[in-house]
Amino acid sequence: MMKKVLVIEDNPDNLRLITYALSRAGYEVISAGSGEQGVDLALSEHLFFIIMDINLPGIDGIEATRRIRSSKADGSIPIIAVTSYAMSGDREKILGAGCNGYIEKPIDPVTVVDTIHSIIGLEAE
Amino acid sequence: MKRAERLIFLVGIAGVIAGTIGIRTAQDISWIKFFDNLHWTFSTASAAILVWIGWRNSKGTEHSPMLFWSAIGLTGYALGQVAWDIQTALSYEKFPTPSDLFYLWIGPGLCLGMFRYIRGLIRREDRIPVLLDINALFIASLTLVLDLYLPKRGDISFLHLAVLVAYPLTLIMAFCIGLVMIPALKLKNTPNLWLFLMSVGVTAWSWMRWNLMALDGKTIDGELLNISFSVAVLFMGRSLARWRPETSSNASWIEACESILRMLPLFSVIIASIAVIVTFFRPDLPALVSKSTIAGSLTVIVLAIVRQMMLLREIESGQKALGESEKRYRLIVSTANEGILVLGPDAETVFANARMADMLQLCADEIIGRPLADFVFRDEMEDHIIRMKRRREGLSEIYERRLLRRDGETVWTQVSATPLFDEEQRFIGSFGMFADITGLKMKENALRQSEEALRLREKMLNESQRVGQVGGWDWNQERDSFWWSDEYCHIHGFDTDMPPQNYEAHLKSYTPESAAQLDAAVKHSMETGEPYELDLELAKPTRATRWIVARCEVKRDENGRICGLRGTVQNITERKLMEMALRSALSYNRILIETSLDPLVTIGPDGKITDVNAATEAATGFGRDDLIGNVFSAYVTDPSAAEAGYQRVYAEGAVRNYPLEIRHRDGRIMPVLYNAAVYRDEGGRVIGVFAAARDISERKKAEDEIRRLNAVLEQRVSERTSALEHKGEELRESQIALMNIVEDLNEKTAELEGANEKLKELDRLKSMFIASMSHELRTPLNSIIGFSSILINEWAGPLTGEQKENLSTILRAGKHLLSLINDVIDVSKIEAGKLDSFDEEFDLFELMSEAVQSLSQEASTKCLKVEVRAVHKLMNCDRRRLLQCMLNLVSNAVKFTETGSVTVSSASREGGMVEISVSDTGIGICEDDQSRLFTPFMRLETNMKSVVPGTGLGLYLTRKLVKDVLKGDILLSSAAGKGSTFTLLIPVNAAGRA
Repeated sequence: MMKKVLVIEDNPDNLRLITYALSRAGYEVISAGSGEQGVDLALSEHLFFIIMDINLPGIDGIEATRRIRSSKADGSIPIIAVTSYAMSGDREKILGAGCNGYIEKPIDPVTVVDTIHSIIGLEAE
Repeated sequence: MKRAERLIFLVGIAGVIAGTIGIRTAQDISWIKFFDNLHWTFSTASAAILVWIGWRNSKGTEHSPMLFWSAIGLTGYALGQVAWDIQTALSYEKFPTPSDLFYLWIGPGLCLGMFRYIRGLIRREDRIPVLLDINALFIASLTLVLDLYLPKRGDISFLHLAVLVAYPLTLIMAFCIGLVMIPALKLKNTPNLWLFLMSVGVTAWSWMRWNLMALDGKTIDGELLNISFSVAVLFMGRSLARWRPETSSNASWIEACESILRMLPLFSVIIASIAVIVTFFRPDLPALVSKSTIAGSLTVIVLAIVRQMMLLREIESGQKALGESEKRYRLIVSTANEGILVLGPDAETVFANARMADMLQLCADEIIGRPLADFVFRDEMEDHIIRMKRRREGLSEIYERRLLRRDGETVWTQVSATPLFDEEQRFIGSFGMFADITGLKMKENALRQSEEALRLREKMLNESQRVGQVGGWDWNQERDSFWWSDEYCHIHGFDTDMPPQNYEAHLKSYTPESAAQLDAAVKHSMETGEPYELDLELAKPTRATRWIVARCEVKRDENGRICGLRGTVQNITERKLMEMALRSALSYNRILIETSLDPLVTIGPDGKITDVNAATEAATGFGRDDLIGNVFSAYVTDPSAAEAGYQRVYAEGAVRNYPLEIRHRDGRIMPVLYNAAVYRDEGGRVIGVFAAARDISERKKAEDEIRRLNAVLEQRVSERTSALEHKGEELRESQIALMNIVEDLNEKTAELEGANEKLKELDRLKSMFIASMSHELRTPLNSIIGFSSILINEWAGPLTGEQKENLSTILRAGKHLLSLINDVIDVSKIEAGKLDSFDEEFDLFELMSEAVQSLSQEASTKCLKVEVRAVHKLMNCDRRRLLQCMLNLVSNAVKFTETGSVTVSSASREGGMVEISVSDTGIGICEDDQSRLFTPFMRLETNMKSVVPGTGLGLYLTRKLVKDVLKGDILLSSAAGKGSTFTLLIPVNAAGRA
């Protein structure tokens, strides 16, 4: 059975790009276009990890992460943030909210999955 | 044992039931007889065995003899039954039968047993009444029985009759004894007891009925009567086996027993009367019957009368004894010297004797019903409650208690209190005897008070002597002995417990002069009888000077002869010392006054001089004696001014610097200033004026000179002032001009500030614009780079060579655009001072390798050799920014080098710095350009410009990052055509930098 992952991303192009990379790596990708929707899915689905865009309409990725961490019984699900290079200084906020790591935009579809794996792998140690 | 007992009883019951059923079902008379005998035998045998078991269990108790004799009786009965069985089997029916010999044991056995029992338990004086009771009852019963038997006598022999009568009689006797025994011994009312009595009664009655039937010649086999025998005997055995009666303590039952005992004679009489009445209604009876009945009845009546008389006498004597003892007690109570109170359970008074009432000045009736607490003082109430509680707990006590008399006075009592309990140990109150100890207490108090007063007086004497520092003494001439008070000792420096001295020894307490004075005075007084008063100084071997005043008068004996002296001494050391000090102070003052150079005078209220000093004599030319007594105004030039000044002093208390002129006797005039003040006596009354004059002749001269000089000075000052005023005018004008200039400047400054604000606002807008623009630009770039990358990697399908090349152009262009945007963002951030740094630990070697690695592809396409000569070094600073700098430098090196190599090296430097160098063998930078290299948008004129892409921001940004973020420095050494070396000096530990 394919492992299910959630991508929370409002930009359809970005979403398509990362979905492409993840699907190729053998993941079943489900997506959410807003923070609220993402939190609902994260709490209802059994997921392998979550890709979280920080800059979202409605609640932002930091708040969404915080909600998932505080309400999900299994709080250990990996959450990987996707941040914009311009948003420096958000790094502490992102990790503080409970993200396991982050990837900077632009995403390189060739290397992104390895980066994600290394973040999760580091986490598993 | 209990089980054996139960088993035997059950066997008996089984026998009776079997016999009964057998009789009811059998047809043949011989079988009926057999069953008849069967239940008889079983019941009697069982009963006998049960009683023997009971006897065994009761050994050593008071029940033992009764059970023993009962057991004998029942055993006889059982044996009789066995004999009867044999007789029946042999059909032997002649009288007397052997069975009768045994049967007869039962009545006497029971009687004897009960007699022994009663005898063992009853009081000696109750024995005869009980015996009488039993006899009366028995004879009455006998009379009744004979009354029934005799008419049926027929022709049977007397012996036979006697035997027939003996059965019920002995049993009736036993029943009577039992009946009397219960009330006489006040045995506990138990079912077992009644079962026993009933079984004896039923047996007696059955025997009587049986015998009567036998006399009537009726056949008696298989009768129900026979079964009643068996049942009664069986229950008799069972009740005796459990025979454990106890004396009852239940009051009402005991009372009932007493009543039954009193009623017994009457009961006997009633039975006898019934017998007489029966006889009366049957006139056909033989004379023997009537006679015996009447005889029996009479006996019963006599016995009853005797018994009743005894009872009456008993009651009477009891009442008399009770009355006498009560009278005796009443006498004791009413004549007792102690107050007696009986309190109820709630401490309320139930009884009070006359003495008690007397003590409280109340009638006994007024006390009764009131709680004792009514007479207890409030301060003792708590104690009273505790005492009452102790009574309740059954404690007796003797203690003192103050009681409140009706007139409010206190009665001191000693109380002896005892709790009272009824027969069932319930608390019903207490008994208290109150001995009046008020007199004793008063005496005790008075004694204590007088002792106290005496002690107080002595203490006061000592205290007053101590306070007044007055000591008392007494001297007896004959014995030459002193008595002196504590303070006397204290004044003299003696210990209070020092043994008294004689006269000669005591004289040594004073200085030799004082001792001589004292000795003379004492001798004079002893001769003449006159008192003396002397100031004496104490000898001072160890103490400071000490003066006393000794006052003394003579003592005379009853004949009026002088026999000694007594007096007081008072410590006057302080006074004496003060006097001396005063004296020396006075002479000192006089010296001071005389030494004064200022003429001093004192003037009385009348204006006359009272005292002068030497200076006054000199000023006036008159002698002291001439001056004193004359009016002061006579010695000044203006007497009226002197008078006025003098009046002013009186009015205001003092004057200062009052000018007068003293006229010398030879006509010289001395100008003076007087300072004068009133002076007062100790009571505060003004007694004169003290005036001190100061010679001001010299001062006057000096003043005149000063005044002249002053005038000259004033002239000069006014000249100078006008010159200055002119200068001041000029100054003011130039000041106004200056102020105008300053105002202009202020206006300009405000304008500049406004412009500055606008500039700042513009700068902020620019930064915002760049930030948002760059973000917006990057989003589409994301897709361009991402999807071209996908396509190039042929994820979407294979590509032709041309397609691949085109795509890689798109990808490269996209990446370049991205790096341009990133540089723009960084520059704008750095300029706005908004670039944050994030320190972390990393290895320098790894960082450098990463930088080289990311550019290895470009280097290899140009066939450049890239070398890393780095050390492993743990650094702690902003890794990302350092990497960015390295990438910039290395990519520059690769860009501007066509052949040769790029070398990246690192080395530690002192001061916690690390040196990182990027060298190339490229085109190099000429010296003129080197200074402009680090300015923004600077692109050097090279022949390569057209092929090397760039914004001109790279080095500017690098230098900014190195200096502002990494706090390091960047150096360049290069020459055109000879390659370049960029060197970074970075602190190893960011925390260490300034």
